Amino acid sequence: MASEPVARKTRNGRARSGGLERVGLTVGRLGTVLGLLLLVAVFAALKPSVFPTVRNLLNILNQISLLGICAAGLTLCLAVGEFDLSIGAVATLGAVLTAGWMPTMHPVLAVLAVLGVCLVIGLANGLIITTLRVSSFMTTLGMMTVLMGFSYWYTSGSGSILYSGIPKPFLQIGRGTFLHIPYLIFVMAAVLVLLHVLLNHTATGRRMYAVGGSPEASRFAGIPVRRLKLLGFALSGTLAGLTGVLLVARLGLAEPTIGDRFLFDAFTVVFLGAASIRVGQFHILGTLIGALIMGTIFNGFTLLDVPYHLQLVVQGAILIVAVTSAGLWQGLLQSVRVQSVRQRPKEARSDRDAA
Amino acid sequence: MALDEARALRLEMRGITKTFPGTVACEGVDFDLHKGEIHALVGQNGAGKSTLIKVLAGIHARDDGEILIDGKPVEHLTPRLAHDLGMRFIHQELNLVPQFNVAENIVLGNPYPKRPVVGTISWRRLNRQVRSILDHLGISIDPRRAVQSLTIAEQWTVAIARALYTRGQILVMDEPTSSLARDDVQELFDLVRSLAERGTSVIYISHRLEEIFELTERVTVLKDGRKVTTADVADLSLSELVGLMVGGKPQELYPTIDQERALGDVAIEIEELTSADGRIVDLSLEVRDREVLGVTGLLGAGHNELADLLFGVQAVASGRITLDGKPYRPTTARTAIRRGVGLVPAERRSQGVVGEMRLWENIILAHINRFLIDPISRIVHGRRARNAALGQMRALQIVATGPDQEVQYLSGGNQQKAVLAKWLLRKPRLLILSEPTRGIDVSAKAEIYALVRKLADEGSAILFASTEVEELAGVCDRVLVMRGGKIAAELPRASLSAQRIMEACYGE
Amino acid sequence: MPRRATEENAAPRWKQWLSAIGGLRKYGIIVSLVLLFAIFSLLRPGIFPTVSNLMSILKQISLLGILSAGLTICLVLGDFDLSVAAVATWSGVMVAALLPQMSMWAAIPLVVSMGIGIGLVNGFFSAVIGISPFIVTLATQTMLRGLTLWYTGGYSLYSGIPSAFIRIGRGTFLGIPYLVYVMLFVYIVIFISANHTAFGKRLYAVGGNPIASRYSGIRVIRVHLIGFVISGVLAALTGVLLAARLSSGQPRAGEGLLLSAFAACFLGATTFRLGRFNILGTFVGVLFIGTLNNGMVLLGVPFYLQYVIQGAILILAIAASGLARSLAGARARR
Repeated sequence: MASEPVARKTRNGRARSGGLERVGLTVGRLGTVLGLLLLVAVFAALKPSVFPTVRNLLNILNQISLLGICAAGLTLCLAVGEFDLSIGAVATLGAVLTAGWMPTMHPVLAVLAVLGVCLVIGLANGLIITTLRVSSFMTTLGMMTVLMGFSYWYTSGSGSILYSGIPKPFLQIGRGTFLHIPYLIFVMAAVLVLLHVLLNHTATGRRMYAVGGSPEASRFAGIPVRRLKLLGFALSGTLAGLTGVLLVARLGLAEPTIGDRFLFDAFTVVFLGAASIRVGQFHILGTLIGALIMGTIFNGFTLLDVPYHLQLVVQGAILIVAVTSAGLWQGLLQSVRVQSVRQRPKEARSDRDAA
Repeated sequence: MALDEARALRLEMRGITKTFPGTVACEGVDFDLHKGEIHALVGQNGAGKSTLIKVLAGIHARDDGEILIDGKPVEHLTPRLAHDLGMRFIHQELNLVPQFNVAENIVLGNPYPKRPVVGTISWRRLNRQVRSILDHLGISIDPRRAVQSLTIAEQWTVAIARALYTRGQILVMDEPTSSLARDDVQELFDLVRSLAERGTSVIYISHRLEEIFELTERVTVLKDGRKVTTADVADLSLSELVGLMVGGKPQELYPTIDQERALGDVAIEIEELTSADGRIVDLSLEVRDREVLGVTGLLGAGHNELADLLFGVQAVASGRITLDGKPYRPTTARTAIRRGVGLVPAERRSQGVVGEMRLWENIILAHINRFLIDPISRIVHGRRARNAALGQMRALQIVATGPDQEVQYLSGGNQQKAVLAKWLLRKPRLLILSEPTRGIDVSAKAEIYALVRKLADEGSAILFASTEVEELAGVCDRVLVMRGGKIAAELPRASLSAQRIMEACYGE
Repeated sequence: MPRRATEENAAPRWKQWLSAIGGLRKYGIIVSLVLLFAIFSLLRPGIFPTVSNLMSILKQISLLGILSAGLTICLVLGDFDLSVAAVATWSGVMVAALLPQMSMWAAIPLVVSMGIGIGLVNGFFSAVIGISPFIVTLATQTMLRGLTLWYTGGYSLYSGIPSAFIRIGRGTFLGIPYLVYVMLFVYIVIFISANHTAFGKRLYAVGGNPIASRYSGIRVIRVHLIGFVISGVLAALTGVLLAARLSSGQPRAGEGLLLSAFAACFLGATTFRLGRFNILGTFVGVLFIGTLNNGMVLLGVPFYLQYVIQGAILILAIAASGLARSLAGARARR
């Protein structure tokens, strides 16, 4: 299911002509980008002195930095064709553990330990799912529940907030800047660039796409399907953990629901991404666009004093509109394509006669 | 002709035995393959072909027997080892990654060429390498094209290119032509022959016996898990081959047709029909009761599209259709069914049956409303439905453990009979069959041909769309050959032969 | 046909045993349920296995049960409806908002028809336009959450709720809470619909092979639409009953229901008809979750530990069914 997230209609096996396909997709791809530009234009018009400033842009990027990191990890998991519903709970766990261990451990050690734990959780998910050949949806659902309980237990079982003993330098990561650009943006940029290169320009990444696109073909071609799926889960788990760590760095505290919203938000962002540029495929650039859209909405609405609940409504509406237009484009493309098939039989025959 | 004995033995399988709990899939099977040989492997479903191949591929571990590659015995065969030893397998499903382009599909599972320092993929070198192997094989497809945009035939050539990308020496092809039309089959054959000339050995598995005679040198026949014989193809006739597969004396596949029989009135009349997608242009034809009308052509000629069009699955742009004297506008499958039209679709597994549902449920699927206890509760009358299914099972000789068996566990032939039963529940006004015997073993084919004739004798009008010219010649009263969406030739019963149909397809 | 095995080449005894155990995997959840029951009865003999406690379990799960029944129908079709909990929450809030202004008999149908509307929206975008239902319902649930928050401002609506309405949520008849009757009624109706009516046949046909269904004259889009409508209606009903039980419309009422509903359906899919969603299985799944929760509460298990155990059991259940499937999967199929 995960390999065709946008529209189900592309089940038609008819022949397509390469050129037309490229044109149509180019136009359909840009839908979400255009939507983003539209949003920017609208907000810039409504708040001309505040919105379209460099400072505000940095604000937006800073806001989405953690979501971007979490969503990037999820992108990889979806690219291999698996769902990870535990990312929110892993982020929460990461935050809670970080806040808990920081006071008593060397901060670097604490961070590494937390990332290690989250890596192990991701691997656990992956092992259960690939070894026993069971549904990723359900397994990660179960894992999410377990981790939720654990996070509550760890925070003294009553959902209290952990905030003491977090060293200042660590908080600097979450709040400091370099050349006026918050560190967190650099972290997000680094993660995005690395994962983009991984997915698009390394054999491992391409094989991950192969596994997501056709696990049977990959298996028969000797691609280590299981290993790559494990990698997908490991990455989504680790990056969710990193999100949690950085949450503490930014907020200076942790409580057992801190990471929850990342689950739905990350999925929204990744799916928005799959409706952009490379329609029908999960990819980092698209995820970035999705995150930018969400960040822009959040930022603009906050500036306009629009309450949070309306943002939710708009978020949902944009997701539907974006995916619908992408899907409609693919559908339109098919009917245009089909017209051109009228010519094919004659051409095919004349080629053969000439041979 | 006969095998040049000087050719080295590439592969030897001796006494291969493989059992699963409850069944013996293969017992004591011998098989050998020379360098550059094209060797056919035939047998009915369940005869052991796929098990033998899976043993060769390292997917199943053999229980007994030896495998020697180039004279050296191989102990524990795994898929990786099979690959390293030069064996390449192409399955019916092709196993291409739909999101990738041709180049990435060809290189799938093999190392990508990398840039020196960074270690990332060098796309330019990849495209160059892929282009060179495509040229080497004589395939002219741009490696950057998306695989989804290729025709099935082109996709097969990509699959072959992938198999040979890394110096494959034994190529195993499983049912390569079941989705191809005539001219594409010829291109495929040319490719396979050139590969063989260059030393690649080919194991060719197919149900299309006529192609065996055209392409291969030797044939090994399996039956009930055992090898019946290995023979030079030149020494056998088609009916002898069929006989070996089925057991007993050589058999005829097709029922005898009484040339003098009278046809009924016109059941359906089509005038200047044009389809919305342009595949069919200004087509006119008519089918009479008690007539089996064959329709065929090369790929894209329109015969399969005609089937879909008449059943309401594809849209009509213009034209008039009269069914039973009344106008017929098939906008959806439902309207077609209501007028008594049934379609046995070309793709059985994806279009014909719901594998997870039971046999009786599949049989009543098109006419559920006729089996309700009452129209308000809309509860299905289980007993009546099962009895109806039992009736069909008896009439069509469907082999199953009972009407409650899930259809996915039936053999291909029995599944196809279930699809037929679905339409025979209520005598169809017009029965359309699209590639009805694709992927079905020989005895089931014969049964289906007999069924079709019997239905015609009982008064139905039947439209038989197929690309297997032999069965068209054997079963139909009349054959229409299409080209470019129109009817190009009509062959009456008297001058019906596979040869002439094929010639008409090419436009003689 | 492949030859039957003879004495010499039959599979080894231990493999046959494993195969047989694997065949029992259909009933795994039921066995676990019985085991659970036994364990809790042993640990809390005077409290757990009493009529009143069992009634309490049934009452606890009644709302989850109704929600899960609707979700099951969608899942048979392969449509993941993520909006069920949000619809329930919204419906609870809506009914609480409407009750002060109109009769209960007008408010309830009105809210339930909102459920129909949402189902149609979900169905339209997924079945007609062709967007993956995962995305569509993700979007609708986000929007509904926003609307709920907007309407309530975060507060509960509890004024003006008639006592007759509250009685639905709290009252009993012959010792059995009304809610349980509603749940049983819903399950009977849905069970019959899914397994014995024309719609049910079409439902499973479309879920099993939508293309073959189309080629058999079934209106595939319509089936998907009806599936979403059923899910929406039952979610709305759940919301209404939630409000009745809580005597108020609460903007956070549905939380946790989504997880549990999916868990119940998936647990159910490991029962009876393997790997396929089915109503009876969902019911057992709901019973299982309810029994587990009840027992843990009785044992004084702190709530966070309950989460851990629930999650662990879910994973174990899947693992067990997966393991059993691969053990028994050695049979050669054509």
